[in-house]
Amino acid sequence: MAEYIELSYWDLALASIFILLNGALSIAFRLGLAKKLFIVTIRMIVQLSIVAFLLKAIFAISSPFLTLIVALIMGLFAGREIWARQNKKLAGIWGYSIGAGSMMFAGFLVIIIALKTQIQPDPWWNPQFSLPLFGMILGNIMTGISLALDNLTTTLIREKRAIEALLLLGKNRQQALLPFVQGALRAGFMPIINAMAAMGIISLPGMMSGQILSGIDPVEAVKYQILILLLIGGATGLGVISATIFTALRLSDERDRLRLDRVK
Amino acid sequence: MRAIVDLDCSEGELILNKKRRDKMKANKWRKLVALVPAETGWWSEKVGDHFFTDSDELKKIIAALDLPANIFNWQVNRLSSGEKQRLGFARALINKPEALLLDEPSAALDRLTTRKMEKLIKQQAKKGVSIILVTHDENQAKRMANRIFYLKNGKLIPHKDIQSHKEKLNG
Repeated sequence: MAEYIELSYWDLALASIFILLNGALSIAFRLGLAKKLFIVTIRMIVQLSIVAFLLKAIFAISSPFLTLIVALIMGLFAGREIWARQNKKLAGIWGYSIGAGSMMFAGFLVIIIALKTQIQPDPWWNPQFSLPLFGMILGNIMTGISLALDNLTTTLIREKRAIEALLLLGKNRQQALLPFVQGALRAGFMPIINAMAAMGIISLPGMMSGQILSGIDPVEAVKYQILILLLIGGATGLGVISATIFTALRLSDERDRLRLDRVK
Repeated sequence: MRAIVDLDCSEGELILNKKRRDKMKANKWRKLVALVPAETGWWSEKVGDHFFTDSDELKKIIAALDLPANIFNWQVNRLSSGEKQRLGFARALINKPEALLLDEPSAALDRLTTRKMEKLIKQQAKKGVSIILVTHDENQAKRMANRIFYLKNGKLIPHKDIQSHKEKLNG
């Protein structure tokens, strides 16, 4: 097995030549992207560098409390992202809390079970294992939930007349909303289903490639990748289902009314 | 009318034939008190999917409204607004409601079909169904109603008072 090859800062500088080339092309073709490209490149480098130092510090301190705080902060940021990605949001605290709450519930449940029973690092919350895994799981639940919720609210607004026609004929809210909830769940599940279907044929996932690059046996790397995908799939499903159901309940009430007044 | 069927939040008591709205599940209440909005909703592509029965009674209503018997096999996007309106009315009758709230039931219909619709509405009234009909057509109101109210600035004004009200407004 080949050894891990350490990168020098010079190597990174060399790799940025292609970005500079893109910038030059943008200027030549007047695409107006050069400045943006420059800013996001710098931003990416700064963000990742901060993460590197933070992770190094967190691994060194290795405290369960600190690990939990970091995980919560990650969750809160991802929750904000779910909120921001929706065209029409639930008014008030609900707009944030249903998405973020469902995501954290699913994420924490799956990661804790995985750490305790399958990966079993010592101690089980070891930030070197828990935080990167949590990040990967969180990112995927986030995408699923934001797609599902965006689909649900937009469809309910668009299909208001059809839903109310069902209610007027004596259907209760579960019956009237079911097809639209199903549609939203399908939208939320789609990315992870597509990702799993393409896995290994069209795309080699980043984590697996990373492990292979760092000299780990491909079979071991694939085993890890399968584990991650199973966790991501499970957590995304739980998060999407819970967020969609809670949002559908919030957008209707116990008198079987459609409550679009709760959308802002 | 949306408030009466509990689609919009409202306050106050509603009682129909000794049945109180607040003591009933909303979906049961809406089977008793059927609202036919001016524009009804469609949740499926096929007309037939919007009817939860194919009883003879429904077929009779469809025929009485001058709609073809095979209309259940049609696509909804093929329907004219008049056909949609009539189907919406027929759909509301299936649950055998005790009260019918009709919002401009014949707005999209020609004179002949309007009369057929009015005949059906009167038949329902004869069966004991209470009917509230909203219309912009004063003549229709006179043909159909035994009590007429005007809606002015959000207030109901009885027909007999409308003349003095008009004078008040003008004066």
